[in-house]
Amino acid sequence: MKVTRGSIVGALIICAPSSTQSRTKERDPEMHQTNKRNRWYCSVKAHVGMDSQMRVVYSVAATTAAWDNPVLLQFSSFRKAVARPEAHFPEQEVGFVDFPGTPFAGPHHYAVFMRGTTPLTARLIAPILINADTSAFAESREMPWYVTALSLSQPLHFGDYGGLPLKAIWAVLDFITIVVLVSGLYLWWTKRRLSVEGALGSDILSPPSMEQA
Amino acid sequence: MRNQSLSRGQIWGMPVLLGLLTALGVVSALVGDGLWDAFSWLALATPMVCLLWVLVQT
Repeated sequence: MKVTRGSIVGALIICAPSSTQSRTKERDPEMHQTNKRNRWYCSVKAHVGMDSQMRVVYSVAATTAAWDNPVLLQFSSFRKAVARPEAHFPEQEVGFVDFPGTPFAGPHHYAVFMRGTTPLTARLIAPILINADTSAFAESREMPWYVTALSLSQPLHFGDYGGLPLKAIWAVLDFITIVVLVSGLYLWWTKRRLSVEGALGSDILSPPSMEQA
Repeated sequence: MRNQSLSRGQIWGMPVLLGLLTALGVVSALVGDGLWDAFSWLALATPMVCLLWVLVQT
């Protein structure tokens, strides 16, 4: 957010009902917990920029309430952080976990990446953010379709699946492809050279034999 | 010329069949393990055997 001269910038916490006795039995998933002066809020934080002379609000940005909070000094246990996703996705396993403070996870969360156990789903990962201080569920997302497509087709690129026989076959097919490519290039180059010589009036080869090639 | 007497099916039938077999083989090992893998080995080995056969003949 840009702050120019004569601006007033303030952040305020907008509270959401924290009760889980609503119709959907859960809190608004877009709301996040934050702690201000030892009180917990389940809310969004609004960052408001206002011009002091014009008295016009020129920018409003809503972030999660935990945005801009100080770095956590103590994390909840790793085991607790992983327990929630494991219970929620019993048919999946934990692929890897990013700790708070690393780029994938951000400063306030564990990022738990779940993956399937069948050959088809083992490469599909689902990211889940767990609050690093309370071990509570914070956020999860479905991967967009193009990431799913890339993940599924990744072995087709590397040829690292289907056991050793398939890897061997893959290597041979690679070799055949290289031969086809190089021989095609060779034919194209030779024909191009001949046609250039033909155009220049060289009589090394007569046009009929060129067409046969 | 010899290819003048061949129909389109005679020319393209075998390559299309081998292509389909290759595609099935590539995908089947992605989908499952065990039998799926074995099928993919067979399916992908077929074009290679054909290639070898043609190379030996000529």
